[in-house]
Amino acid sequence: MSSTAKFFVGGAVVVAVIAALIATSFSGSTSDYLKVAEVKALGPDQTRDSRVSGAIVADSVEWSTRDMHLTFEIEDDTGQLAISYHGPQPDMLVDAVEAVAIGRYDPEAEVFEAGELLMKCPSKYEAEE
Amino acid sequence: MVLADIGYGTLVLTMAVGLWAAFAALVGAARRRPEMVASARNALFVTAGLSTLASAILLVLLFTHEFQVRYVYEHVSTYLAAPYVLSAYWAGLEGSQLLWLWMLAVASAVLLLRPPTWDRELRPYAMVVLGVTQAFFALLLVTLTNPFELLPTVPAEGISLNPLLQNFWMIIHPPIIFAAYALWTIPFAYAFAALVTGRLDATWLVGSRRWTLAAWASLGIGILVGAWWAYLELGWGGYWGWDPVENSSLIPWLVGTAFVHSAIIQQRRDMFRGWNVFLVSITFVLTVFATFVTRSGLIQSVHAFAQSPIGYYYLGYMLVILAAVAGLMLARRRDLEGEGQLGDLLSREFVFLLTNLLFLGSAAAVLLGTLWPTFTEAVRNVPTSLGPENYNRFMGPLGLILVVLIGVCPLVDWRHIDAERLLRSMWVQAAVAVATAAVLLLLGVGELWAIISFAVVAFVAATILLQFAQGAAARMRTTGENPFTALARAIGKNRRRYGGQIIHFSILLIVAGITGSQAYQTEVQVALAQGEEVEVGPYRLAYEDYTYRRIEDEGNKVLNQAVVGVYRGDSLVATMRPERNLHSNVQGAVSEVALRSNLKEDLYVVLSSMESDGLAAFQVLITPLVVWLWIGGVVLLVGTLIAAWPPRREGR
Repeated sequence: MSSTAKFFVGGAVVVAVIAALIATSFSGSTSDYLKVAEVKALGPDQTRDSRVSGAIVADSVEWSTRDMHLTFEIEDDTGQLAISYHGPQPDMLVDAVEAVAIGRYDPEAEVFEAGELLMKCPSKYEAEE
Repeated sequence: MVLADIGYGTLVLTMAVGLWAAFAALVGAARRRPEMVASARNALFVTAGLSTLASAILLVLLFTHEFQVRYVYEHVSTYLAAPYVLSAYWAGLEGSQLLWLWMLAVASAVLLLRPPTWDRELRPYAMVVLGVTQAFFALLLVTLTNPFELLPTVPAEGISLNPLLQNFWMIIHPPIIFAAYALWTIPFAYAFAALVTGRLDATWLVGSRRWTLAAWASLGIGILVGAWWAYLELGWGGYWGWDPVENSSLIPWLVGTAFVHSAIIQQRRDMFRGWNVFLVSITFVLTVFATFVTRSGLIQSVHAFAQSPIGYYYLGYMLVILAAVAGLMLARRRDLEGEGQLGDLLSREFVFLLTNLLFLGSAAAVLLGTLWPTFTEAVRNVPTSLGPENYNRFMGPLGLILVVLIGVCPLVDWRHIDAERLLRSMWVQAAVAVATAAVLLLLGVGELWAIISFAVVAFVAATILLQFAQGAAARMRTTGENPFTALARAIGKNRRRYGGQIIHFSILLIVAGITGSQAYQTEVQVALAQGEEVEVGPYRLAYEDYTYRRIEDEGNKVLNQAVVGVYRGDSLVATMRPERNLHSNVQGAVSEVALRSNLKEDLYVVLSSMESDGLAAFQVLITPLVVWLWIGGVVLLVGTLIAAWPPRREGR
């Protein structure tokens, strides 16, 4: 085999390995955004976290410093959903801001237990770059 | 507002003069009319002056609080401290594009100040790129994002700068990043010129090497400064979240790094001619893409396209550049074939190729991940996003392989090396790596991937240090100098090589910092009343006091501050004051983190919330080795300066 051919075969193998690695990384845990109604239809046997986003309902935010427990409701065009979150209070938590909750829905308590909360604040990166 | 009108006028002139520069340079070069080329050069000095004037006018408007100018109204207030008024210049879309333009115009002028030497033939065509790019940004400013736009009425007070941006590092981060983007234009301009003229040997690479290094280093340091800001200001204890804004600056850095390496191959072996032109063009397009991503809002949602046509402008410009480069590469395909022959698979050429593919592969993956929500939204109407874990899963392995290659590459000969000889040359480093892993295991440090990562770092560090030791030892034998003089002179005699090794060493420091901080972070979340304590790692944190204060001369900012005594055993080691403040211009509270940093670990305290009776929720993080990221950034700068320092003139 000529050295050029070796180079191309070697290069192709490397490219294939990189592509495979990337493909597995992407497929593993891309979690889809669900609508509020879709979340409420989830059964108790969820194996993966889901993401749901919506506007924070006015005056629904309740925060207990002692328990570090946050509850609020979000709404989208399919309904309202109660969110429960244990942890530090996120910055920029105010009515009407878009919140993204990542976690699992508890159909018994009808509450979405979020392990992670993100506030979609359009101005946050206004000047970063 | 006469001043604002003058500002707008200078931008219109910048666009016109920039276009003239491009046209005159093109005609002058193609028709061999030196007076046209001279006119183009003068025109580019004029655009430098005009964009400087436009910048100065914007700054005057900001500092004099001319709130009738919408940009001023939106970004400053009468109570905003002076340094932040300065940074308000680049706090918005309009100003940051003006900064891009200004940086590019100044860099172009600096380039053109020196009479042409090696680039006599190439320079006019490079000026075409510089003129067109300046005109493009001026066009955006004149049509869609006029920083001098007036409001119908004069507001009494401005909205002021987002408090998250009121941070020293956010003053310097954008100028460094935009300087990097502007500087990347110059090597690209020479690549374009080389394509047009067909002079595709390494001349353009060698000639523009310092510009490339300056662009590459500024981008890397700009990214690190941005990470440092995120760490200090965003209050989640991390420095990198694989956010589209962060990714968009990392992608050109990855491709640019591939270019910096494959440029060496072309200089040494006359291979990869077309590949280099391709890489630097892609890097430049990606810097434009980065500005577009951060500014268009496209990544947040495809619907941003409907709101403002600015996305189409950027997309159009990127497509024009790509089409021009592709067309020229096709026309010049014969000149793109170098003289060099490929070597064996076990050769330095192949290691460099591997490095290139890994950098490009990771860049492509990050790009794909960044665009993923947009694609999925366009196809299925629902955005699907990737989390940090997705990115880490490919960037971890790819990054570690790249680090291994840093250590292997200097041991591999050009053209061919025996596998046996290669292995024999690695035994010292391998022993150091194994010893490192063994010590970590004996110390009971968990996380297998982190141990592998530290072992790899040790392997490569040993290679680099051996190189320095061998260089110094060789001089000591021949000149009888003492070790320090010998080392300093060895570096001085071969700045490119040792500068490169120092940069590689800085990457090791950064990788060690990333590994330590990602693998061994400790986090405690706790609510404390005044007088209560909590143990975190080796520290005892006592919540001693709190302050609640309204600060009227900062626009009724409400300050909530906790005073936390940090003890080790019974001795007080620090008093930390995390804050959580309310600002009139943003909804919700903004945290100001308290940080105590040393070489081993950072103690990071966030005030999560505070009640009126002082009951407070804290988030306390201990992050090992994170400071080495920033030290690595400084070492990277030093290495680049050594590598780029001009050689001494002959005869001295």
